[in-house]
Amino acid sequence: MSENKTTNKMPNWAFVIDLNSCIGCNACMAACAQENQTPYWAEKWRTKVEQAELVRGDNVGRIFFPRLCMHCQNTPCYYACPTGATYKTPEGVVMVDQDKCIGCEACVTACPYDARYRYELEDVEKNKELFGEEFSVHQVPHIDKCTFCYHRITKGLEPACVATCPTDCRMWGDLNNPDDPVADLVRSGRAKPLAVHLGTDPKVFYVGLDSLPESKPEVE
Amino acid sequence: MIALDFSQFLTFEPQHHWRIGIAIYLFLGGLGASMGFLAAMYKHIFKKDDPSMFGWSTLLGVLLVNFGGIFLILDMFVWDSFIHGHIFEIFKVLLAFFGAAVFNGNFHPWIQWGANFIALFSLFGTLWALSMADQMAILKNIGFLKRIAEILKPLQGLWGWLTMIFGIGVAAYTGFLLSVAPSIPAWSHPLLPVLFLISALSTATAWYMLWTYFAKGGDENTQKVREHIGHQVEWADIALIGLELIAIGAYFNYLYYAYAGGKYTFHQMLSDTGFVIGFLFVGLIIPWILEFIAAKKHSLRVLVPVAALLVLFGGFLLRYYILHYGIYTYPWPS
Repeated sequence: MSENKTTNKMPNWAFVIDLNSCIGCNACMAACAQENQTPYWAEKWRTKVEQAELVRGDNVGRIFFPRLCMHCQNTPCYYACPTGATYKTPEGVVMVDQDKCIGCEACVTACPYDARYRYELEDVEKNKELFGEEFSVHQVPHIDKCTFCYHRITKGLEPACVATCPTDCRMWGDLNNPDDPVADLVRSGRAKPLAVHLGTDPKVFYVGLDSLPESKPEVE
Repeated sequence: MIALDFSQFLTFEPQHHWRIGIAIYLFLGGLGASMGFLAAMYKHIFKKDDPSMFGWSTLLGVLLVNFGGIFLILDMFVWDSFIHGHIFEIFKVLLAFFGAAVFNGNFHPWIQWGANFIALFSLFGTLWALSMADQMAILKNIGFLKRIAEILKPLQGLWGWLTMIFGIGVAAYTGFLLSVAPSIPAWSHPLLPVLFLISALSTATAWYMLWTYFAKGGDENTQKVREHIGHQVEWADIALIGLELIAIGAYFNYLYYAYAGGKYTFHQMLSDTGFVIGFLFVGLIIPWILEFIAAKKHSLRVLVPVAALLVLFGGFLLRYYILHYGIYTYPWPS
């Protein structure tokens, strides 16, 4: 499907998240909310760090699991969108055109990674109040999601969450660049995608899906 | 290192995006489209003629499909945006539904296919029904409709076949609409479109059972045809409910054995008394038994409308519970 594949000439942006390094500080969420004006006041996030408690005997611990849009190459949200609001950039970044979105939520139900939410009218109004009418990037209600900070990466900057992560657990790179450490992690198989069986071909990979350092207890 | 397989961690989360409005839409869409499909099939394949029943049922079917569409729009549409001055929002919705494939080459979205199927079913269903207007109760007394019927009649077969094609398209589409959610086992189920199609045809036969039971007008020949059709649809519905029970068995079998999310959904659905008692028993098994009794014992024909109403009730409940048990399986801990 030509409309849904990236070419080798373009960068093929991808994320690697090292689960062994995430300390659950949520700085990524804060940076993203500030950069992309997401409605944190309504607990809606483009990226989120899930937390779970693990218990083994007397040992209790927490694990942290950062997540965001997987920018799948076989894109269920794109297949579901009836208006063409969901589209892919030449680099394979999945975006939403606010002006074309009718808020039907077909993409929200189709997304296997809970990466989309509804940017309501009250969120738009609150955002304009906080950031100013002129500087608000959300002018109408729509479905919102992570864009890999497309406005930053096209200027040679890192996504806001990567730039702010204090433990460098979020890494950003180009899969088409053989010298890129992110591409190397993916190629080596150390970084793996989520829910491979769905065939969505995600571009966010995780290190440590099947093992964690000894300091974190095993699940009981 | 301690082995810790993250695949052990799954989060099950009920969807709350598509609610009762979509369930009403799916039910009325399936029922209305199948009413048109069955009418055209009876006339053009089985060569039975009851213009009043076929014509009015198809017109009502078109009305139901579009009335259901209002619930879809109400559920999906960003009304607050419209109210706050984005007046072109409604045109955007309509243009987008019909035009996305043309403008961006994306032929995947089922909503778009459905919108087009509904529009074409509505158009051809209306043309087909109006081609019989000169023989239909009430309409035959309206002069200009008689003239319209004369114009449309030469191509009546074409309108009928197109009604059948797009009718079955709408009825099946209601299942495909939900099938694009890969992490919702109850929706992305391969049998769902088939199950919805069987259920839609069953609810439509229930409608014809009600019509043939209550509508006693017309000449002797029409009455004879109507009685014959009534008897046939009763047996057809018995067969359809039997088929639906097998499809539901296969649906749950797949849910249980396929993967963790399916198993979780399986347990949730089958531990809901509303689903088990309301849908499986009251909406499916009891009318099945009642229909069988009524078909065998002529003195108990009063059971026919009771069974038909229960089938309609069950048809709605099926869609309601499938939507309600749209439970995501997310691959992370919570």
